[in-house]
Amino acid sequence: MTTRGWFDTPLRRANTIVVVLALAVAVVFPLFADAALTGVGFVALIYAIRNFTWNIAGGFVGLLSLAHASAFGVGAFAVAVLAWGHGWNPWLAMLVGALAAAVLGLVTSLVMSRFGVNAFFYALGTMAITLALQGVAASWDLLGAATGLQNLGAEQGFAALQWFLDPTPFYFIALTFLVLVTVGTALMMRRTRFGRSLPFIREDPVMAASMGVPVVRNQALAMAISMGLTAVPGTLMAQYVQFVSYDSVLTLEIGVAMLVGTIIGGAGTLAGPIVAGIGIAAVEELLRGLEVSSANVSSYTQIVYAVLVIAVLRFGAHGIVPMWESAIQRLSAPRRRPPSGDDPPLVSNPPPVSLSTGGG
Amino acid sequence: MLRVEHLAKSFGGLHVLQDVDFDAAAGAVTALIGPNGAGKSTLVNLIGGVLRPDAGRVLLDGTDVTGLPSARMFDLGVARTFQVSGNVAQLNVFESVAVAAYRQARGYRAANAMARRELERFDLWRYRDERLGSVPSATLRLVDFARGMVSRPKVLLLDELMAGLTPHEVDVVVEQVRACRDEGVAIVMIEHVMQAVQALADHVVVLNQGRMIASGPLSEVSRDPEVISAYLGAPLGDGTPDAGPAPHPVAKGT
Repeated sequence: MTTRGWFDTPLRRANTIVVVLALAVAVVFPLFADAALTGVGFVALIYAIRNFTWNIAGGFVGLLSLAHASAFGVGAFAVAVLAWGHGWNPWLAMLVGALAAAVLGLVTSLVMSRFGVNAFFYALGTMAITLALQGVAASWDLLGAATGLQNLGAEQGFAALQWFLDPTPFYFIALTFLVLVTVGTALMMRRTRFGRSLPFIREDPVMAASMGVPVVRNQALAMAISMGLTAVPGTLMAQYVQFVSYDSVLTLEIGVAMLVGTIIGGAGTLAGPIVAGIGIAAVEELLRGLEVSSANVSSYTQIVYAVLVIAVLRFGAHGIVPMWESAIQRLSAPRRRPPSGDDPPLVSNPPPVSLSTGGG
Repeated sequence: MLRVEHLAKSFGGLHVLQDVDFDAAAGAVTALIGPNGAGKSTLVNLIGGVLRPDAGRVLLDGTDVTGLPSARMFDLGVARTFQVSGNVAQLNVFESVAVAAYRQARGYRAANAMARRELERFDLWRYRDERLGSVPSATLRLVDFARGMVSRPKVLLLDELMAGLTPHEVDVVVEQVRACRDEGVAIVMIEHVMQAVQALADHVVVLNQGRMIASGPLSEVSRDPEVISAYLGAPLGDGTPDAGPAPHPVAKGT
């Protein structure tokens, strides 16, 4: 993008205000919330993070991956096996999990590219990876098999990445990570050749290649970054819950939640996955408040997902954030720059749908 | 500059191209013409690295570059335009030129500066924030052309750059192509619009049903009986039943 300020257009002004407000609310939230509500906030941030990291491959490059559920699981199992089981430092275990998930993403992408699969088969193939890993976790004692793994350590504090009573530190670690990943991704998408090439790969790989973009390499790299980062919320979640099993952190549902959350929020935007992640966590909590029996929460959540998806498809097609952007643009007067000058009268193409690619 | 030697390609049993042979010199425009289905797009895809030929060679400055992938061909200096389709409508004008600029530019600022210069040169700067889908079609062709030129290519392949433009718009684009040719780029263009071929082509290669039936200056090839028959569909010799109707009969042009 060309150099722009934060307040250049009405949309930028509105976005800047919303981002600053949201950050301020996020920072003071634990001061006003009790431990339980802070825990809800932490879970909401985890949803936001994993939607966001899914979006790097799924939204920006258009790779409909369900292998990201594996990445989440790899992050969780890494800390369970290495830290809880073998006494490693949890931060180191987190790093190992992220690297392992990155390698998994790299290999997955290269295999998919090798077979030149389309989006549907990409989804099916990556789903198979998650199901296979889930099967391995369900039957291998090292990974807890059917009973799962429990954190029996008693250490607390930053070095141990563990706090037994107060989830506030978890909350701030998740918030810091989300901010860092968001800023890093925004810089990558706007400033680097690699990041700027990703929307071109999504829209037309053949054209991207003819512009000198190494399509296969960049897809693989995007999958590695995306899945590597997805392992981190997995690790944080495992530390928070102190329990990990094949059906808690390595399920297809997690993969679908990332995909659906990103699409509801606005795939290929920076803010969309975060908005949707926090929104969905809030909805889940509200349903819990309505004295729905806990066993039913997840099925009610599914229904709410469905309603949200239908609403988004009906009213905006591209998600919450693109809807917001077009609404602001419509409200802020019709100030479309007319292509004035000495051009011949030109037939214009059909009006475009309003969706900013490469970040809001 | 670019040399194509005995290039051949078939899909299944269908010979799309056979024994195509021509040179595209630096600072000259080579036009590939022929009825629909003649194999022009396949030829450009073979040169650009989208497809691999079954036989023959592509030489760039005397180096064999046959069958290299298209990203590699771009790095070596073979850029191309596309018949831009709906699926890229979301992409941004500035970005599409800037990403191509990275062939020559080192880093963010350099790429942006090159993209800006190129857009200003084609009088497109005011469209920088638009999506490709929201600019007028003649402007889109110029953006596409700027995207090709910003990489400072040795060879630029133009795929039906003029299609769908009004005669006046064609004149505007022709001027820009001519200016780039004069910078020493070897331009290979697939073109149906005779107005552009007449104005630009230094050398014309006529394809029909995958074979090269004529090659030379436009005035020469347009008198060739086989060319006339291919365009008008009149049976001649073995007959060419599905040559298709001619969009712009060559004979009329001379």
